[in-house]
Amino acid sequence: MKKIVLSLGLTALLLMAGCAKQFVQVDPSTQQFGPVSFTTAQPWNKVDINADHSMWTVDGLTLNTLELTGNVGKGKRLFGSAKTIKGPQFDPSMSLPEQSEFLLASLRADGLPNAEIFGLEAFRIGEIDAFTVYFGGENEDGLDTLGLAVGFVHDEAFHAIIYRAASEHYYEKLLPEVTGIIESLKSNEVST
Amino acid sequence: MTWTDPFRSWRSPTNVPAAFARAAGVLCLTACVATGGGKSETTPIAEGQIVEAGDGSVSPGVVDVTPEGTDSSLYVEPLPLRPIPADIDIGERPSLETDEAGLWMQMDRAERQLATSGKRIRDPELESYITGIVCDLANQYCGDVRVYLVRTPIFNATMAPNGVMQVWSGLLLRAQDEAQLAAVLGHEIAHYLRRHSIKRFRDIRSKLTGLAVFRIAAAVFGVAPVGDVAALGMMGSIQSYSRDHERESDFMGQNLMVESGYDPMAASELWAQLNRERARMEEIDPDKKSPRSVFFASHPPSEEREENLRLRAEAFAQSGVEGRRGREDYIAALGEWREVFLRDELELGEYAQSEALLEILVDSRPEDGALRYFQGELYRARSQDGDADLALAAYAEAAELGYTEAGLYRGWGLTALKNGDNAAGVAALKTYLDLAPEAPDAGMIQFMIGSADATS
Repeated sequence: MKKIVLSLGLTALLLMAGCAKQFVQVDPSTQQFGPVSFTTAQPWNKVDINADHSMWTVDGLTLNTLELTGNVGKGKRLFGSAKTIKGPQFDPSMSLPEQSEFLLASLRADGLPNAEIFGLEAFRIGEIDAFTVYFGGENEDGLDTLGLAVGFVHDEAFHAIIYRAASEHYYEKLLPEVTGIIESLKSNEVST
Repeated sequence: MTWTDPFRSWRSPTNVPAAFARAAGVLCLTACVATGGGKSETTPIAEGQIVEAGDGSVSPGVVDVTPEGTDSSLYVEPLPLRPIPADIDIGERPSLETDEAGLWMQMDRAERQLATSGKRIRDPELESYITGIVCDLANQYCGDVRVYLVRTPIFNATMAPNGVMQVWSGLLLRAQDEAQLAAVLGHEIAHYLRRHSIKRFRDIRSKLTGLAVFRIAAAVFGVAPVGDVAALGMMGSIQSYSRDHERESDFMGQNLMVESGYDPMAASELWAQLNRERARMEEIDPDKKSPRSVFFASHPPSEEREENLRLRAEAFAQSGVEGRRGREDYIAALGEWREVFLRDELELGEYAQSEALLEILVDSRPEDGALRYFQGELYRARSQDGDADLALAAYAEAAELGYTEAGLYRGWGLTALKNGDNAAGVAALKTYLDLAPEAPDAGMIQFMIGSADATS
């Protein structure tokens, strides 16, 4: 009985502390993401996991997800999770190809166990070196998934925008929007 | 009927579990899987097997092994060469009115999820090879055990009550030959034959009520997605209960190995290797005291297992049992998956453990250039002081050993660039692109070459 009362009390405290996350609608607009900004062209539903991590979706998180995760510092993992496989830790000395390896290994640990790269390119966001990577694989539920991500390091911290969607219909559906988001990326720093 | 225990002079008779006392009767080297409880007919006993007469005397082939020089603190009831009867009939399903039936239904449902999971390794040849070993070991129960290979880079295998066996890739990577793998597979089959799951389930249920029971049971038996914190926490509370089952399964699994013609010493050697890996890991990184593997956590101390299985294997050997190892067959069967598993191991980011494992694998196969390459990849990923030089040396050794995969030159080139040797880096990356012009990261590598050329 004592344990039940304690667990109910703990649950109430967590709810009061705002641990129950809620989605909000984000209308087309320019958004800030760490040292960069980007522009959306259609409404999204967004939930903030924490100050550095948010998840966006149009049709539901299991069908299409745009994940923004930033400020991943030295020794930190891209996704915080209680899974058996936690994934690798970030090191600011990673080169661009190594950053993409870090991202892919993190995805494998985060529910896309057989993720493979289909394309990897370098590009720049203002003065920031970045990469885009196309990937795909089956998730842990067996859903065939495709994805596109951008990653970069700024102030010794890794930032990533990761799009994942069911390969059938849903990936293609939002691909123009996501491609537009990536093309709209701008550095907040004014080059001198 | 009574039986004679070759270790009787050493073990307290009060420690004999009741389950084994019931097994008194025919003793054989085989698992006697079809004996006991009036379930089925006795397995025929081949020439050379150890047979105990009804009066308790043992056939001349039996050696009374006195474990002199053994660390008795590690010794817990090896129950050598004892028959362990199956507790389930061939093709049996529990009747619907039992609690066991409900558990099976849940496991059947979980099996359907597992069958389509992205974690499942779908390679018909590898699956057929591993299933063949399982069938040899399970004998008449072959049709009751279904094997799923799971891409999880942790040493583990699981058995659900309905016969679903998961073999994790971390086990496939660590087993050095077919016999070592058979030791673990036999162990898991023994869990099934001895109905350990329902016994554990009842123990869990006595601690919990409500829907959580099935969910947690599913995680405990390794069928539900692992990672449920509550389930893992619950596992801790039933570990001590499961350890007797683990010991029993060790011994029964070793019996099954012998029956299938494998060298029973492989079981002990596998544990010796795991102990070595853990000790070396702690030496490399003293902060890594707690074992990562759930297998380590939920199973008896592996020093004990190593010792008990060694004693039993020696007893088998003294009675004339020999067995095969299947080393080259095993490596050939893994094929390209071995490198996938090595990559997955490194991606854990548990570098001390990976370094220890690779050292062991290299010791075992010093001629294997792929292992040197992955040592290089380990040092490149770890990227601590001095690691670049270690990586470059390992890549060079891999090349000397004849390893020619394109990835070698990718790692070599990236490491050289990071180390400030642009010329060597560019040369290696160009070799990579020559070997793999259609590589998905070719654009990125071209960019790296261009950047290095621009700064040279």
